Amino acid sequence: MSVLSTLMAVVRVGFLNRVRRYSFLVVLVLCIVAGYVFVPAPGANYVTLGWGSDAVFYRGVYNSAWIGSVVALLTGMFLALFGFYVVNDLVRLDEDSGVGQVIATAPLGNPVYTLGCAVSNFLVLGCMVFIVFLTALGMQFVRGEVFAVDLWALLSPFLVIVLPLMFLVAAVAVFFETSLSRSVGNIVYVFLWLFGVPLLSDSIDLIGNNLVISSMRAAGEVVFPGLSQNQFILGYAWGFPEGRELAAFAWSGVQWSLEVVQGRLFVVMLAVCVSLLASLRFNRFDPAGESRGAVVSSMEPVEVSDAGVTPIGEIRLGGLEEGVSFGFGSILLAELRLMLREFPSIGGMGVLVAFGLFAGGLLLPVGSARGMLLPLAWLLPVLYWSKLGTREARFGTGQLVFSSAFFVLRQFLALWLVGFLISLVTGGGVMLGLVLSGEVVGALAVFVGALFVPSLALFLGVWTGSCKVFEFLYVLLWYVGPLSGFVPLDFMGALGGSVAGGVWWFYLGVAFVFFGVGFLGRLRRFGG
Amino acid sequence: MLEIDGVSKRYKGSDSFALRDFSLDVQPGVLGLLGPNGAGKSTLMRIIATITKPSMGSVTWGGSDITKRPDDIRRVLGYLPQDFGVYPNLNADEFLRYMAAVKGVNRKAALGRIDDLLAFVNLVDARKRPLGSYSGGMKQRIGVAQALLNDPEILVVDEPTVGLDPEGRVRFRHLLAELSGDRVVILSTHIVSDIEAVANDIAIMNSGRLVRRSSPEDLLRLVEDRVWEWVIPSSDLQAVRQVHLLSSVVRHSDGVHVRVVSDESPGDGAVLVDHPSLEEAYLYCISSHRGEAV
Repeated sequence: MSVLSTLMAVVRVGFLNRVRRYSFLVVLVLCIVAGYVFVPAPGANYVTLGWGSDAVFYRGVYNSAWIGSVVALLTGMFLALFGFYVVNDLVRLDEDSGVGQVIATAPLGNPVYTLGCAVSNFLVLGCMVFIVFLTALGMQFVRGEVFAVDLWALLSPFLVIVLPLMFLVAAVAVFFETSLSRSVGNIVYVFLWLFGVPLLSDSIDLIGNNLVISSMRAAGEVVFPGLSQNQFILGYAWGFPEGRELAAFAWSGVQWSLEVVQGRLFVVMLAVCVSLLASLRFNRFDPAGESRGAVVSSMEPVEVSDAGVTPIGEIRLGGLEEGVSFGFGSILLAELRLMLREFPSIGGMGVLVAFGLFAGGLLLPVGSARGMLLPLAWLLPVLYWSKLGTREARFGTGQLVFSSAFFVLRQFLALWLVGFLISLVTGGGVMLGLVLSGEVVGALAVFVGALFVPSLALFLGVWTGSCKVFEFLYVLLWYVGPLSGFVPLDFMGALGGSVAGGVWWFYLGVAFVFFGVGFLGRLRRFGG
Repeated sequence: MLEIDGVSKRYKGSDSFALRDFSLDVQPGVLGLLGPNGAGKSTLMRIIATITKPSMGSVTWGGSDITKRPDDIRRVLGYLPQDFGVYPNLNADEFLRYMAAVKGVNRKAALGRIDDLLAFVNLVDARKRPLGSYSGGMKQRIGVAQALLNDPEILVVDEPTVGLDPEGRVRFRHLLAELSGDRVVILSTHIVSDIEAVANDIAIMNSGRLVRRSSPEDLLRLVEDRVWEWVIPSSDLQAVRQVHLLSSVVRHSDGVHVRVVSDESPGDGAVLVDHPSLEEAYLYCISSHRGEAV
């Protein structure tokens, strides 16, 4: 079998494995919704790309070039983040299914495998991009400003801008899978997207927005001189145009020069390099390999001696001296122990850090404790929270535990309490400090945050069976809300504005809803 | 004690039934559930263990419908599924302590019980090692131990000896024999020798249906005059294989000695076997149910 046919086999299997999942259908539906939202109606109270002053909002006429480019830019931005989480499980799928062991013994080089995985990921993302493209085509008719379709102007931004970026995302997903533990990779990628891409944007235009937007701006300046003096908007901007006059200009799209194409080819080459780099970190499904976490490395095969074996004839297994009782304390302790054993390498250090955060919250000035320490304190335990409600699905222990009596309610409450305990220990110092300084409402807001986080984690864990949705959503929420100062998303009461505005009442309600719906998820599957 | 009445199971998105109008009354002792792959054994086990609900019919334990009141059976149930996972970062002690808490076993009682069970499954030496480092057979032994933690009144074990070494299998059979008495043990397997060693009652399943329910002795009597030993030239083996149901083939200097399961003599020189095996009785039942000529 030639290298090319081997590569194609890896690509094909990986692709089919993902696109035949029910969840992929959901993703495609979301792509259609995204394509629709990216082209707002003239009367909508949000915009996605343009320039706004107090009186006027400027954007291009909804022709093929404008719609194609706007949808392509936004698709690139969003799929660069969300797309990663759709495709970052191919190596794990091979590992968990046992196919990895077969691949490991096949005459297949590591670079071929990781490149094949990257191409496979790219095809999955490419399907999503294609659906958005079709939606963009439809949106030109739905909005109906220009009915003449220029297919190249509509399609070329997807081909030139989005697809190379998707290949890079596909390759980075493989690199993260081979280099980092799953949960750490999920979190690191959010930070990479939030901070890394903007930092690089001046030197490498990965998302391609500099190129397109400068062309749009130039066309707009011709019709409306001084347009670029206004506020530039890219993304979902609520409250625009709202009373402003709409001023539209015709834009015929980017002229794709050789230099531009070379720039995008550079992104493709970068993706190839990243996937080859991944091959250096790929442990070839060796359970004794050390490249994907310390947990695996400590697991040398056990040798058991026959010394001291009870002879078969002497085996007598008596009954239990005491009957069984289904107390809540025992399951709470058991779940707490199990949670602490999730990361044996952290061990007691994690408990020390948690109490350090408690003490810090109590000793620091209230403002610093609430605004700085609390966001940090509630970021560190994210890997613990993300495990809530997922363990049975991840380790295949569902049949063992869910056939036990009174388990569903007992364990659900115990899991939630373990998560709440983590919130309390890490953020309790801040809470107590607020009470002592008389800011009872502030303390209440933090307390609501402590209720909200485990409820969100348990809800997502139960319904998805996976840690990554929480890891991704929570870190995004944490960044956009408490860290960036966006008051409506301040779920933890870190911002004075959110406390005064009573945002925590909303999160109190949401916490109860998540708790209830999470419990329903458990009942639906195993409640008997 | 356990009554399965007209149970059918059809999985979502599937046209066929995994179980179809299945009825069985199970009393204390070891019931061996035999059947080929896909016969519906694991589906039945999962229904009894309250993991899956039947599409039709009912299962009662001590008169209580386990679909409506699953905790009535769960509190006295020991269950070893065919496929299960363990928590790789826990050692055997920690895992069994966790499972004891899940099953409501008092902490003090659990500690002694875990010692006994680890000795029984021969994992005392490895009790402090993470389960992630265990071999398949060792994980299976941990599965056996957890199923017995709460001293169950009903023990449901699905293919329990898969992955066990010969000594482990013997130990497990010995345990089942000792456990049976006033409790219900349901042992599902396709390894006839496991059933032969311990079961006092056998149910044979095929295509989701109950084919036959009888004692091992009655099952053997069924094939008393239906198993033949026949010596044939090795050149005829393929042709014979295509026409007859063979339970064993052994080559000797005088030709190939085959054992044929058949209602009638398969050919000249074939002689009835004095003591047919349970495996031959099982093959006969399955072939008859499939409508194959025997």
